Amino acid sequence: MKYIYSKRSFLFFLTVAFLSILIFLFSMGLPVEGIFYWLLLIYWLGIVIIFKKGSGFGFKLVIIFYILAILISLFNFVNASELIMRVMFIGLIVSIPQAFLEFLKAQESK
Amino acid sequence: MIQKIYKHLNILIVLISAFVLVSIWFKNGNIMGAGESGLPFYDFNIEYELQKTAWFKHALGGPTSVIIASTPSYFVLKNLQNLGIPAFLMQAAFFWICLVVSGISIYKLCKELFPEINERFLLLSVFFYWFNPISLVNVWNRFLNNYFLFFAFLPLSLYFFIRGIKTGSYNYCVIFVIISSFFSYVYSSMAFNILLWYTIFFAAIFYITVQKNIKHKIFVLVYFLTFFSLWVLTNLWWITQILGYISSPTFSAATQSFFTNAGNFEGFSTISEKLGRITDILAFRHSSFYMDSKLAWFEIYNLAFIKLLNLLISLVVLMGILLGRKRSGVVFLSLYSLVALFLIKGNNFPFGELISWLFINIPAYQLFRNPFEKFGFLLVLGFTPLFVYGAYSLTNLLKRNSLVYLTCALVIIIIWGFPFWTGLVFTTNFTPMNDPYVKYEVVVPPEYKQASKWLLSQPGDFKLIVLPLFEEGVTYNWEKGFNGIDLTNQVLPVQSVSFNTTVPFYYDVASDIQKVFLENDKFYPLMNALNAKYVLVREDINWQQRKMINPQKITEVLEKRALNGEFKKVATFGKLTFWENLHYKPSEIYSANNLAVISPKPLAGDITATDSASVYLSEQAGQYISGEESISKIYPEKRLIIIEFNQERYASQHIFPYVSTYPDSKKYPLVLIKEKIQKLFIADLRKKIDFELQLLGKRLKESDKEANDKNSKLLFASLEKYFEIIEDYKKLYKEYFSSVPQSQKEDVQLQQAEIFYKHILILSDLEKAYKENPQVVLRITSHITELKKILADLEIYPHNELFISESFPLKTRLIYQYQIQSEGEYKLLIKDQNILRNFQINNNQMFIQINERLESIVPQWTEGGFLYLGTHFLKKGENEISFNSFESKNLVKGSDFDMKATASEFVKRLPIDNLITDRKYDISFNYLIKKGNGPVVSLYNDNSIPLGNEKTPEALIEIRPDYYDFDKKYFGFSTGNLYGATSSDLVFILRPWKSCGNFLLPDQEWCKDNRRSISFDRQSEVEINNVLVTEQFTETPYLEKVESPAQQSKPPEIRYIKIDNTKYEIAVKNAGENFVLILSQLYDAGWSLKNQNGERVGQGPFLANVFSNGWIVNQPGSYRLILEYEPQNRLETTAKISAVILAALVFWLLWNKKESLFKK
Repeated sequence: MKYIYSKRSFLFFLTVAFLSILIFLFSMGLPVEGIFYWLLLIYWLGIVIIFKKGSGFGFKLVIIFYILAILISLFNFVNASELIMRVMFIGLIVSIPQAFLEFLKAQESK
Repeated sequence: MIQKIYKHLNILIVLISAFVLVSIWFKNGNIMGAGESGLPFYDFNIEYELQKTAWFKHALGGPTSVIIASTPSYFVLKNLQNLGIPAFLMQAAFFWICLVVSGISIYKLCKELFPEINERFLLLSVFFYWFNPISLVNVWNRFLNNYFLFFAFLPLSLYFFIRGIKTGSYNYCVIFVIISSFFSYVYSSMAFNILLWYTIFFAAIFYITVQKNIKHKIFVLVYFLTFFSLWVLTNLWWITQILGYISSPTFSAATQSFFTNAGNFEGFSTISEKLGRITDILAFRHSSFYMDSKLAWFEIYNLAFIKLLNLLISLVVLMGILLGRKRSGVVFLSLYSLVALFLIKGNNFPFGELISWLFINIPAYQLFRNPFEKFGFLLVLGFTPLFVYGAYSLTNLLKRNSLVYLTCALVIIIIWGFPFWTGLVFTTNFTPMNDPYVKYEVVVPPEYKQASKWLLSQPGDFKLIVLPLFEEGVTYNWEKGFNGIDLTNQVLPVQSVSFNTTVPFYYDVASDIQKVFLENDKFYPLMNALNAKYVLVREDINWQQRKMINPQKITEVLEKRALNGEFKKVATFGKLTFWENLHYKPSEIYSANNLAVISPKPLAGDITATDSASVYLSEQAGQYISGEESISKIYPEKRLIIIEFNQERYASQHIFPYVSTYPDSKKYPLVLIKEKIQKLFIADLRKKIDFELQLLGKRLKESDKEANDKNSKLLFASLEKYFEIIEDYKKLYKEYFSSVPQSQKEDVQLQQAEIFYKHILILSDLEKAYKENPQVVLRITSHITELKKILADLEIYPHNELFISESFPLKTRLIYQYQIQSEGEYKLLIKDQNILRNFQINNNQMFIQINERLESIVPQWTEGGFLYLGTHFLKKGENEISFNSFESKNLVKGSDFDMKATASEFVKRLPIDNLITDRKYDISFNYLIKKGNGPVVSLYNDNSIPLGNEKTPEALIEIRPDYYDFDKKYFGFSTGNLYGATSSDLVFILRPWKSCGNFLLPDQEWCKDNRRSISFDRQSEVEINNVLVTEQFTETPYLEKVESPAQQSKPPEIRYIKIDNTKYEIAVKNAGENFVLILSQLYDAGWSLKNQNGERVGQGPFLANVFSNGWIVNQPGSYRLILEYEPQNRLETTAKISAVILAALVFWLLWNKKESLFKK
């Protein structure tokens, strides 16, 4: 939670919110749900870059979201579990390439 | 020895498991087949003959293209079959090889990437790869041979590539290329070629990036390029065939005629939405496969517990990624799987926009219209080693070795494996494959072998026409039957026209053959044009399930035609009966001088000439001969319909929605912003158009209000906005209309015409409101004119203002648009024997509008069954001819009756007279519900699927009582096309009013027992009046030039020798100045006519006789010609290059092996 309330995070969130208003105003033709995922991707990337988080952090979040989605799907909340799965997928989109970059770095330092 | 066996125990388990599986699947000694694959294992000789050359000898022929890649496999299989090996054993061996290769390859790949993993974990990879539910649906249940091979070949290729890089040995590269020649069947799908090279390219890029040393980076690059170049060279023979096909006019005709980008994209989006949910993908679920299934075993996989287990398997994969993210193998596979996951979900959220962009802008991406099916291969390949690694890592982490392993093994081998160990994986929803005792097993009746033998004993090179004929799918009622593509060309050794499909030119013939057979006076002219000697009537098909015509009706027509000396029954084999065309003249290749040019192109029904020297040409081909003057018949390019729509203003909410804020309100600018934002969030094209139409209706309502307030400034402001929206609408509608299938275009045009008809009514009323102000009237009139022009350009309205008067009211006005090359007098004719049966055509005067003038004519019947609608002067260019549709007779008797249902249901059947197959009918009646329920209205056709003693009703409509308006009401609907039906009853059913539930509301279950609830039933009573069943007028009036073209001289005598499917030697004797040479194979620009020196002769090929190839030859005298399909030359040359390179590689490999032995 500290990330959400930190100053840098707040400024970052403001930037993202500003971006989203620009998207809405200039009719970029994206459905609202699509915009939400793009913003989430930017937000996730922002957190990783600003707070210098490793891929392990992302993967752990991914697994938490995944287990959460499984639990929700057990109660037949199909759409809610799919939404969380998509958030988890965004986590994978950030964390897997990040793991690759970390691997390259480790190779170079060997 | 025991140690050696133990060392290879896993391989032994793979071999034995594969053997056990195929033994279970083929225990009955039958071959299997389903769906699109047909029955290639039935007779490899036929299969090989079909595709051994660049010309595919299937139906009317066509380019073999990418399918040629499977020819070497069929050559080997054919020779094995000729040694006497039973077909089922060969199919079992094929499956065993696929299982073993896929199993060992994935095992080796896992070992290569994760050498430290325990052997028993590695074994899990084999069963994971075989039995996972994605492969179950996409590979095993799909049952396509090239899918099986790709499933085996993909891990093998990746293994060889990675192994080669890791060992630095080019031997693996060479072995891959040699093995890939044995797997050439894989390449018969372009999508698989792309996926294969995407996988290897992905691995190459990864290993180039992760290599530290520049030398190693260069090695990987060179290795990849060698891998690719050798593959290209050894596969040059089929690659050049594809490239040739893609660049040919045939390919562009195929893609433009039946597929549109918008249509493909719509299909892609629908599939993505259905199958692209991440929850389903990670649970390995093809959701519609399991959800729509009616089979009991599928239900197991719909259980929440099983879904949970599947999701947990993916959790193991994710844990593998988390725990092994510092390992090269895990990083590579997780990147590869991430891309696969991104692609498999199609354009679903998140980031589906990127995939949509790729789909729209990269034509090749349209090969992946079903992303789940194609990218599923990649996901499974990526997930299998990750799962094994995850399970291994978890075991180490939890330190409870056996529990994790046993749980994983139980899920994969028992739960996932259940349909495989039982053979149920080869069952599906459709009969007869839904029977677990039949599965995909097929037993072709012996009469097919007898029929084949008889056909081969008949002299000449002829084709068959097989009736009844409908679409590609056929269900055979055999002991162990088949449900899938039509099998005739695979089970009989003769080219057969037995199905209809969307292949250019073939479709034009096949879609009309049955109609011509049933309706034309003579069928043999069309048969002769097709070089068809026999009609085969098949009674072994489930014609009702496939909405085909009853085979007995075909036999009845043939018996009638036999009385006229047109046909003769010549052979019967079980349920197959052959009828000989008694006017047959061999016409695989023939010469013609009697030319009929038809604009824009002839239809199959036009081929009516009884002499053997006639040819029918399209307007385009006709220009080779003698220009526009020779055109004998002109069909309309388009038909528009405008009907007398309900004139009530603002009647429909969807045309004129409610408006609460008008332009004079201060809130109005906000309304406009709200509309813009609303529009922004509509992604679907059709919904966007509907929204635009609603906005147009709103602007008109606003205009109307301003006109009433006499505020002309705001009136014109609203009209300006109306036309701004029209500009947007124009773009969207054009895009949408191009994606609408031809069969639905008329319905779409009619819907739009209704909306704009009402718009024009409102605009005309505005004119009236300002009649005292001519300036305003003039502006409104110019707006109406502008709107009509836009509508004409969009093919919604005619170009010419329609005449409407009391003597010529607008009822159902049919507007035909003709393109005329030269002005002059033209006869307007309709040819149809049935028109008199169902339409009231008398000798009264009728009006016909020709462009901007009105003419009055008296319809007359002429010789040969033509309805003559006068001779008219037409200008060069586009001409519009319009008249009101002929009034159809009422096809039912007894149109007024009362219905009363007290204790049981009341049924009233009204047989429909003169029902003609493949037509549409309008049904309407008035009804008054006096008591209880409303009637259920349906059609019982003769080809509806039997349901007990009855039939499954078609077009079932239940009319419910209205609890507010108790008056008499009108009800009407259109039947759509009654495919294959030759008789039908309109059935009204009235059921007693069930009031049990009303009394016993808390106990609805109690009421389900009819014996108890009957005492609560009350009488239903309905009055029906004025039942009308009328046929829709679908005949096409055509124009005929008053002067008839001059007859030509006698054509030369033609003899030919067929060298093979792609080459004919022709001897021409006594040719005059010029003649047309016809080849009765499907039109393809690859055919070329040459003299003996190899120089091209004549002009052509052009499209002749609707489907075939024609050349105009202007060389008098007697001489020899060669007719050949040019891609075959390319095939032969490139096959030699590929063979030499392959031989060199084998030699190199053996030499290397020898060298290394010596070194040892």
